[in-house]
Amino acid sequence: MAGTVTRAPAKRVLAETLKTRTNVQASPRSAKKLKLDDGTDKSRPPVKTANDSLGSSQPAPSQFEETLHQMSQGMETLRSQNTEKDQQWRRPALPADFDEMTHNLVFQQIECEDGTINDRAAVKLFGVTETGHSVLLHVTGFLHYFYVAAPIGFHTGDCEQYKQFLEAEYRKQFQQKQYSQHSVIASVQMCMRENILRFQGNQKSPYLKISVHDPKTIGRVRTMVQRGNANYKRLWPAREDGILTFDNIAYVLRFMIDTKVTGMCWVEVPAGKYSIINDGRQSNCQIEAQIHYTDLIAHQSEGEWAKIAPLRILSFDIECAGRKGIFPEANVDPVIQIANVVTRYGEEKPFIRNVFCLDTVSHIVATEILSFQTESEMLMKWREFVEEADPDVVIGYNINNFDFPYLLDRAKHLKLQKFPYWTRLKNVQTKVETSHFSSKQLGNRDTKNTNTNGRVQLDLLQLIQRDHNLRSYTLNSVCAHFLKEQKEDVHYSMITELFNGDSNSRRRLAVYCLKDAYLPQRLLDKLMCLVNYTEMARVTGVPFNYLLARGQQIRFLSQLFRKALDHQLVVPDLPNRGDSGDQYEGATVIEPKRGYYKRPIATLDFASLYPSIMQAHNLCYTTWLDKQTVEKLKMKLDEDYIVTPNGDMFCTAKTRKGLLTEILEELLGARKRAKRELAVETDPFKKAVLNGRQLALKISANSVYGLTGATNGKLPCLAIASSTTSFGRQMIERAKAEVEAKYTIANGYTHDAEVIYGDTDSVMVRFGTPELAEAMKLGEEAAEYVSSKFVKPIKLEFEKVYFPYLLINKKRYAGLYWTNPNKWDKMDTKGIETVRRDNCRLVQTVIETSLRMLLIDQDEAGAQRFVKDTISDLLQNKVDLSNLVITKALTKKEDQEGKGGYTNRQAHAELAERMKKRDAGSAPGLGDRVAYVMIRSAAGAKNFEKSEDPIYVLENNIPIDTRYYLDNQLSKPLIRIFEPILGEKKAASLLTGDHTRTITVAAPTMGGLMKFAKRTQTCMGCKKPMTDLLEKDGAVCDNCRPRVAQLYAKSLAKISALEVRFSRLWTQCQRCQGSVHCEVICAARDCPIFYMRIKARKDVEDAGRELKRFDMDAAIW
Amino acid sequence: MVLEDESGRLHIAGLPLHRHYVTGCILAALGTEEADGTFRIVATHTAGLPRQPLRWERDEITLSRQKQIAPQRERAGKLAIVSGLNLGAEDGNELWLDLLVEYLTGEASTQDESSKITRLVIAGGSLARGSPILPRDEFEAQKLSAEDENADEPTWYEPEPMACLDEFLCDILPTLPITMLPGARDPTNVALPQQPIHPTLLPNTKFYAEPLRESKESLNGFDAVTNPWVGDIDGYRVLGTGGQTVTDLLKYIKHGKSVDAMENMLQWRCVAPTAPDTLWCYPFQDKDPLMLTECPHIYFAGCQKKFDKKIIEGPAGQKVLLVSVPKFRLSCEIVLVDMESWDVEVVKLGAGKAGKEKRAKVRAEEGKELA
Repeated sequence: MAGTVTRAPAKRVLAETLKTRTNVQASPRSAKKLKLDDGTDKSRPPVKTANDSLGSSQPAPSQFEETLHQMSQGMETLRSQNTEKDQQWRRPALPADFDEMTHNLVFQQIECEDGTINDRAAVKLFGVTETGHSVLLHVTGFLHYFYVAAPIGFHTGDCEQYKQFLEAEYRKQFQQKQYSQHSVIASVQMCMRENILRFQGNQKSPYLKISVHDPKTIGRVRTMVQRGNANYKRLWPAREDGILTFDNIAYVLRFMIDTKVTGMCWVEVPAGKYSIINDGRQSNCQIEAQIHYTDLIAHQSEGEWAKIAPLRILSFDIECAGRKGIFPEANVDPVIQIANVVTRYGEEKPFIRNVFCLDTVSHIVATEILSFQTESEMLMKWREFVEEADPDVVIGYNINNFDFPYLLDRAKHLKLQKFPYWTRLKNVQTKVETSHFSSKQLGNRDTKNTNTNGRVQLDLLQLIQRDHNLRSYTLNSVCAHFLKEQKEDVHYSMITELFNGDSNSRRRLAVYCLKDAYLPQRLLDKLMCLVNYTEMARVTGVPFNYLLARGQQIRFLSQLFRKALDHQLVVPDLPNRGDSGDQYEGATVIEPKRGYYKRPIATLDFASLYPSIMQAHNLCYTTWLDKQTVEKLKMKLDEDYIVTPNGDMFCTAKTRKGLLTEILEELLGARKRAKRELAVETDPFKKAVLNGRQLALKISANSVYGLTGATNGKLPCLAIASSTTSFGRQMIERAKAEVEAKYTIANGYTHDAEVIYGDTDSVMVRFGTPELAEAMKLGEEAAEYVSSKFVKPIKLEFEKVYFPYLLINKKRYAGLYWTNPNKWDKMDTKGIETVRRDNCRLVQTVIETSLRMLLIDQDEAGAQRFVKDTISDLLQNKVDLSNLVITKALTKKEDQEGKGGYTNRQAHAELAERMKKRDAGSAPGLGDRVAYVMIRSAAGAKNFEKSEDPIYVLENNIPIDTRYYLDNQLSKPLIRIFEPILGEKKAASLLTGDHTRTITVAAPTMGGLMKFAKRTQTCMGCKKPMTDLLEKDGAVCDNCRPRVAQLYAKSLAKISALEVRFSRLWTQCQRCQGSVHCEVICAARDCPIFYMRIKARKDVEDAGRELKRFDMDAAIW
Repeated sequence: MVLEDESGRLHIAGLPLHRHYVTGCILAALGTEEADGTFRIVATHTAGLPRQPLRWERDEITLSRQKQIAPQRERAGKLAIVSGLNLGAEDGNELWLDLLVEYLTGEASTQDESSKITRLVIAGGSLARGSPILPRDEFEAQKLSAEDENADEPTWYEPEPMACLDEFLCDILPTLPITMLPGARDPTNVALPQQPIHPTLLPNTKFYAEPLRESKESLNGFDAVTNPWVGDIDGYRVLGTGGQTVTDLLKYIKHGKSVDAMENMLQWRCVAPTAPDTLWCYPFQDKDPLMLTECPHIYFAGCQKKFDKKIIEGPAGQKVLLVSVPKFRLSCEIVLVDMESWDVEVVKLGAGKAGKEKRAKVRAEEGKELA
């Protein structure tokens, strides 16, 4: 009886998918057209999610493509309301009966800029009406001006003569050859004003208001006056530093302040007062009109006017076909895809989703694909799209520094002269300008600015870098952080490959690109950026663009000028002295009594300390006194004025209420309102808005102090700043003294209270009681008691109790945070290495876990054991490599002359160099994140020589420098944590001792001595080298032969476990990528799964090879 | 729910597919794309049974290549399929094994009955705890306790059951050729397709087998094969599995019968649709061996709850015999397939009072295990 048996095909070698891309199968799809508007099916089909089905084994995937087509579902309702049509670019048409005589024009202005109309200066207000029509309003007639103090002997009658004198002087000095029709100086008026700086005895003095016709000339006129070059009748006494002028502020801001227009506010233009421009329009807006500034009505952003217009938000992303190992360069590498997503503000789903692509691309659900044969065609069509879709807000990820400049440079290279017109103004070309942005708060940064007049830009990267402190700012990790969602990270060298494939691989790229375009929109929604920034613009009164492009000072100045106007104050234009380096004493820190406290520690905070000090003591520019004034006005100490702890003098609120006090009152009042609303609000989204608003208000209030102390600022006043801090120091000391004096055994309390630490605006008190509830009660009581000793509105608040509390050093502590006695809120850490990026994951987990054990479980012994186990695992090579990977961005690179590189040799830069020598194609380029691990090398090698590519390490079995990780990464933070608990000696024993004696080192397959070594198989049982010809290829030696079955079983167990591991990781990656048909191409260097997968793959291969040896073993046959 | 092909995914609406399909099925769907981008399905269709080769087809091809004329073939005998021997289970009762040996070698029954049996197939489950690692459902539980164990030495390896299996096979082999598929708990790798049980583990039996490095085609005595396995027996194309694929599929279907699941798999032309989601599986790049390209004549799955059979017929005249083989340990049943008439009979060994009790006890234990 014959039987034939065929075996299942042998397993394939687990090929590295990054290199082999052979199995992208081409399945020709019939050229389906997406039917969008047939509208025959009114009943919406029920959407099945993958999760509720019995037959599906997939967890609910957060797959992008699935969300994509859901987007278009909400469109049906919109259609019925006749607002936006799905995938329709153009804005809804104006109502046919729209007429300037009957219709009021009401719109939210989003951008303000200066310009001209009919050769006269005007302010351009761009905006959107509530019905979604775009508006450009030219506001005419507003004249820019500045003040100068009227000299003694200047009379009202001199104004006209002075004006003519100035006019003549101007023409003389600036040699205007052709007499232009317009005169320069519009008017000179004398009016009563008061200098904001120093107390003037509540008396106004005469000032001259000099107005000019053209705002561009104001700088020249001002300098002329300042330098004394226009000294009318020599009335001004000659002074060395010139004549002081007042109110130096940009034209647009001046206009906004005087007309009470704030950023992003609603303005109204009554019917009949404006005229629509039809001929000679400057813009592409649906309505273009002009009006005199006196007819403009600005609405305060309250009540009904707190709403936000249906802004069109365009989020886009471009892909370029780069070359291997080189970051895309605009004059070489083409733009191949541009994905766009346009959303109306207030709607969840974008109504335009499209991808502009080079070459054919297979259909994507619910997305419009526009294919082009040439890049020029594509770019030009995209420009048309931008003009037609007419977005009010343009967002993206790193668009300012990459996408915008790249597109423009590319167009220049392709000689597309009509391309760079993305603005709302027909004749204004879009250009890139490099600017240097320097701010004390944010440091120095070089940015590229691209003008899109009339469209607001929000680069999510900049915004997130500004507002959030993260481990990594790649779109992937930002999304993982905020949206709890990973995206597949396609390396840019992969993009070219996908592009050169077929229409299906390009489709894959398009989906990826579209996702990159959609994610910024999601981030924007999630982080409520638009709302928060709108609120900020409204609170501070500056145009929206200023918020991102400029620092904090301008916000404060805008508020100050607004208030000054109300009080007829003028702000002097002090010459900028630069950073004089004048330092004043900052906040005080009470020396910490370090230790691990197992009794509750109550924390008492001063609520908004600095603002409230300024309020309480009436510290302001306007109340600042000098000796002469005090003597001249015969003021009484402590009644009319006070002397601050550092010796400055300010008058009391009775004499004059400070302007800053008023601003702060307003800000803090608004914050209180927002907080009150926050407490009752239940909707998590509105909660986020209110929280954002109160934070914005808090930041604004706190920045007031900061700007008085900024010596290179516009209006520094060190007297205010240093008085504020001196009061602050006094208060902390006083609070400490009061608490320690009152809560004593002598006063009938169970324990003596002790202040163990205090920083700037908080004191930590140990009341000594072991009871949490009692500590809270005492804390509250103490806060009230101490508050009563201070001037209002300074208030000490009880906020929280730390129990237990680990005080490591100044500004370094950790504790379990309680606000109610039943349940702790969170684990709070300050200044402890958990977020730093140049640490490996291992440090983070070890620190976090041990803190958790110490604080939450209060298990000291357990924490020590955990640390010891981890260290011993590390030394025995049992820690997964992904935990040891350190990533750093390669930001600088040497050019050919060896300039511009890092000054010190750094591990990641060195590695990048070495990888380039190995394979220039796959080496990280500029801007990439370099991942590396530290490897064992020759004794005395520098750290930067020890860095190595993790994948290379895996493949060649290179030993890890576990000592480096122990000494340079783990030891310091561990000692810091454990020292207060265990004492110096015992803490050190964590890092030495028995558990560190067993070490395992991997035998490398590369480098050094291995080049000379000859590899011999060893017996799998007894490790005896097998040199005998008979047993050379086998698995076991003669002696171990009887045990062969057992040894085989052992290998088998290993391979099976690895297979399972690989299988799990593989499916994980498949899910993440959202397709089970395509192979996994993700190469995210920050993703731990990536390394685990690579390692598992290698392990399976190795184990398989080992298993194969049994087939060869001579013992068997 | 989504449909996916190489080009991407499509959300589906309409027919609730999950009643008829599980993740990983291959199907054609007729429907329309909705305005919102979902796909409304009107009807679905599976690939159906692939082409079925003729009996003796492979032999004929080989012979014609060698320019030989097909020999006169004698009438085929019966194929005995057994699974779930569960050697090394707690009770340690080897009586049933002895009975089985006696039956198969013709010592127990009338010569006539057993002499018709021409081949024994062991469809997985030979050992009770042979798998190097636990099956997936027990995996999690084991992982939790794994910290305490010393991971260096595999604790699972017990030589006795393996020796017992070795002995059992050696007892039968002189009489009957054996084809052995590994199952979920057998000592081989766990990812599908499972590789044959290595001869190293069967020191005596291996002499009946052919050396690994040589021919992989014919066999004389002992033949350890992969799981799933496709081969020819008596000219018929036989597809066999150790049963995991079917068991795993049934997890997704309420009140499903093994044979129905097996039929569906043939219709979908996919032997393990649930891999790699809930079934470990090896990633294949170019060719998927779990795909069916030819329709088998006989398809059996081992280690099922109970015996069942079904004959299905395809549109192109395909006729497939589906057999689900119960665990011998629980049911003491052997499945005999007459390779000429396709009559399937079940032989129950050791029917008697004592046997019943024993069986009940075993069942109770098994129940505990499952719980």
